[in-house]
Amino acid sequence: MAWQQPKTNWDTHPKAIEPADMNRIEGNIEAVREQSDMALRLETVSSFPAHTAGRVIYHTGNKRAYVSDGSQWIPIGVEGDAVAANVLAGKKFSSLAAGVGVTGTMPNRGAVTITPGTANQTILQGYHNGSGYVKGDANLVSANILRGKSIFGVVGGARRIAHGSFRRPGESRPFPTGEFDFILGWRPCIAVMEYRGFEDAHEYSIAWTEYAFRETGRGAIEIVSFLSNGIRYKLTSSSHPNATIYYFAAEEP
Amino acid sequence: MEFKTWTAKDAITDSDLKRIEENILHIREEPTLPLVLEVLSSYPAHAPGRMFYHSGDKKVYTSTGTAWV
Repeated sequence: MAWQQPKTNWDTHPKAIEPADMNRIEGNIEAVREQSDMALRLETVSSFPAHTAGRVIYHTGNKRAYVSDGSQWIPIGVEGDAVAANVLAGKKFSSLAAGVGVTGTMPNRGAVTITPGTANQTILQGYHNGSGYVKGDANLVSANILRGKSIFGVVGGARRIAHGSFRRPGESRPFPTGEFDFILGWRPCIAVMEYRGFEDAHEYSIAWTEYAFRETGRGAIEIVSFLSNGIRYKLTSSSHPNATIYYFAAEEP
Repeated sequence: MEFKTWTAKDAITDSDLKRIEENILHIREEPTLPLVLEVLSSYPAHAPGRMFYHSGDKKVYTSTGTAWV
């Protein structure tokens, strides 16, 4: 049924109501609900009325249209599942999950700079503006990292050195003599070992594979060979108690 | 808007007819009367501007003529 212009200048005297008038009125009653070129205004209220599923209102206080689902008022045009924690602190938003005009609580971290260390560092929850970064260091290269180690995936290539001292094997006379292995964990190419007993004598041995060089002074200790994981040395004295063996070694290239 | 409760002896006057016709004209813009959307559980045929309340997802939809927004 098409919409017809209403007649508002009625004068039934002497003109009677014509069937066309009544048909127009009846037809317009039916057509008015679906008339697409006429304004449609919601019920305007300042407080929420009784529920009827599908009832729509405009709330003048909230300045928002709502539709009733029969038991609650749902803001029209509001979508989404964001909650306050998902929105930047201080910013207003609306969603079906949080409601209308809710204030966000997500902390604004801005630009965070992280310097890597030995322990994991928590990246604080919140908004990051994209200018933050994790510091880099040009020194983080293989040559600066000892072999056997890796830092952030960079495998070390620097040769290792070791120096220190240890007490000779055995606890009482006669102290054991013969060959012993001193474990470094890697193959050395040069090593110096010094045997220092109670008489304060210095006895040493030096070995350097690059030049097939080996020298021993006074004979109490002798570097026999380099192992894939350390040094094989020989002790000849069984009488020096509390002797200390000092060593220095560098890894092969 | 004004409404009249009719009784059997009432004659139809010019003012009655005028009011009825005007009410039809203004019913869409009356802010003091409840307006209930068509309530459906599935999407109906499109007509630009057609609105309905979807009882399944509890949302109001408006047709663009080809899509529900």
